[in-house]
Amino acid sequence: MRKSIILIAIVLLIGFGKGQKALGKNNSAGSSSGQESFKKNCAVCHGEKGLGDGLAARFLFPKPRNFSDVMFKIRSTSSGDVPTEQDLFDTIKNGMPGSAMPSFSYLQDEERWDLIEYIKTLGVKKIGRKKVNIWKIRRKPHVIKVPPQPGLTSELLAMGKELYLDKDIACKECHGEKGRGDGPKASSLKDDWDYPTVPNDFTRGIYKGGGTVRDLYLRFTTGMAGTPMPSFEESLPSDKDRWALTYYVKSLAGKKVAKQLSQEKIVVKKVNKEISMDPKDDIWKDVRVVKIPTMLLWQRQEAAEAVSIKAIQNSRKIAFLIEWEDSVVNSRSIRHEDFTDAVAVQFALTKPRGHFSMGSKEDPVNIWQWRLDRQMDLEKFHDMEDVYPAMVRDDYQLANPDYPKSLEKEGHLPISSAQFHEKTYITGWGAGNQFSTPTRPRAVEDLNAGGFSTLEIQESGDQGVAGQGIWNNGNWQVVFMRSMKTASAKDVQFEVGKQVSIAFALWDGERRDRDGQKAVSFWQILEIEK
Amino acid sequence: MKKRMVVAFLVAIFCLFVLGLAFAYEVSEVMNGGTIEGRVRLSGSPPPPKIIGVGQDREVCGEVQKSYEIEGKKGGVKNVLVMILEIGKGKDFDFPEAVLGQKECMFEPHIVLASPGKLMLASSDPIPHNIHTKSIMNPPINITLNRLKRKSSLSVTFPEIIDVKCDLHGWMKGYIVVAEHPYYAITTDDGSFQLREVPPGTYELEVWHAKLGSQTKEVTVKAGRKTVIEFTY
Repeated sequence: MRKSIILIAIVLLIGFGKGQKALGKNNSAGSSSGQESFKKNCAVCHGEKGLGDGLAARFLFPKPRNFSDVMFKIRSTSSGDVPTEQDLFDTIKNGMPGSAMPSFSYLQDEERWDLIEYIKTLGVKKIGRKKVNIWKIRRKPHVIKVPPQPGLTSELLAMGKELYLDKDIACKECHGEKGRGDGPKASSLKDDWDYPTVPNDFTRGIYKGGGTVRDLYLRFTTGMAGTPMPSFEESLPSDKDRWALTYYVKSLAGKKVAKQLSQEKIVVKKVNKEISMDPKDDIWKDVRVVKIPTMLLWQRQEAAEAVSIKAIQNSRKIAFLIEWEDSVVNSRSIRHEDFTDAVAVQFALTKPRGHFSMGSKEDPVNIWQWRLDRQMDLEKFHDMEDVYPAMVRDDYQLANPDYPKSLEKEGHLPISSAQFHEKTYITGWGAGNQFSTPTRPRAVEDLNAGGFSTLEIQESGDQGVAGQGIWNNGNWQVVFMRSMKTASAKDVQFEVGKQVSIAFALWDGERRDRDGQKAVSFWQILEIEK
Repeated sequence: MKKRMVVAFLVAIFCLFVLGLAFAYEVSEVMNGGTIEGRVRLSGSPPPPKIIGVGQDREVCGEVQKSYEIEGKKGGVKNVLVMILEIGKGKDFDFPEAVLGQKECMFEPHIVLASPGKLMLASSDPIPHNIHTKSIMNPPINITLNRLKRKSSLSVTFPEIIDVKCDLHGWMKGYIVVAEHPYYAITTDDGSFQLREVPPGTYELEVWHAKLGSQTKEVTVKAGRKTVIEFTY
């Protein structure tokens, strides 16, 4: 009898259909501190009310989830069931590689549980006149029991391959015969919100719910809610078959497993020499390199997966050497369809609370951006004539006595002659907008932002960051250098022994990256060595 | 043993709680009920079907698929949902067993009427399909039916219209209607429908079509009498 009472008490405590993790802290305090944390960490993408409509949502693909739908990709539960609290905990902790969901590994476990508590209060839909919390009406989730994992054998792999290509399992319909995400149905798939969606390319080793064989086993068995990926819990019932298929899919990527963003420490090494702008300078030789994973805000198949950083200072100057993989050089952004390779370093001017993108009103940021097209313009201003060397002949019909259209003739004004025009007629430039200036005096621009769409370039007198990049062996190496201290309040100041939050962004011109379409890192910690 | 009973008891309480949320319809014997008989008509002729060329799976799905957005014979509209809005009391559910089938790469029927409970899912095609539902209150599922699993079921508890698709065959679309009470009907080929054993009274009658939208009309049912009503889209 006593047992029964305890059981009733436990059931009442957990609440009906509430998942399976008893935390003993389902109190309102948890939920209100969860709300605070949600505002700080989640709202920028998922929205203040968790409706998937945060400020950053429009820059992201795939889109952040709307928590009122109570649909979660990463579950250990049957199709249609809510995830367990542990599932949500793991998603928050590990992030979702292949999306803009970062790893919140720097949060305390406690804070993550509070967040989950709060997220569960957001699963509310208005049905007629009533508001219904979907979490409360769903059945207690059926948790998939993952059977013991067999060892990998070549026989199992061969079996897995056969299943992968089986017409009835239909993996290849979407993921393609070789697992490259290029099956016949791949181009027409849509998610539950009618956004186009792409099947995973298994050769990249990017898995939204983790890269262990067990993780893949669960994704395949449970399906991924809201996407075309169905559950095979019933339609491939044999454990052995499922392990075989999972091992095969995993083998397509070899040992690669993408990790989602995390926080690292970059130590700025003290040197007692002059620092040069040359990325090949010996001064960089003994500096420890920190490799930081980057993530694409707009998903596609190819991307630099990491950026390598070295940092030094000689008490007057501080310099960063940034290196990343990029197989094609893109130097111009003159035609509409051209975009340039670029890299940016972002510093928090405060101790940043929450997200890492473009700062906020309360937590503004200082950004240094190096662009290859600007660097090229330092030697010679590149313009239309360089992209279309035969343009004079191309549009000869517009020639007239005042504008003879011949480079040899006197009086010819190529487009790059804008700088010799009257400022009044080039309004952006005339009004002092630094973005509109027809001259390109530097490869790096010193910028400020306080939230999305607030990017501003500093006055030319305040521009104090030098930069130079070289491309070699399929890698970009870019050096940024600035004085440790400046007079401007808009600039980040570096003090020996202090820490600064730093983040990185990469643009690949070949993939038409520009503006918000880029790969980014999470906030990292920069520590300036004494 | 005792433990099991307690668990059963709690599960029962939970079920009651969920059912309570789901609907407030009370079953009682209907004396002298009336009948609503009607037709849903289309002004003008239905648009021709969209012809979709089938890429793969032609041996099962055929060379082309005809997708009818609006279908019907003799000036009527087929597959219109007809329901009485807000009725507190009446007969017990008398729907035939609800089965959503997948046959020759179509959902069969296109719109299936289900009473709260279990809905059967069945595929009779020799190729795989998935059943991907989009619902708010009822659990949204996405499962595969193939040679290893021809039949499955979906638990539907709450009144709702659920969209269904198959991601492998883009033209495959269907609907599950989970009824709040038994006074629901789907129009036949010529747009006709019938609601029987309706307790006498005045009701709002709604018709809903996936493409044409919804309309409502007031209808008065007299004891033992037949009321005729017509809707025109």
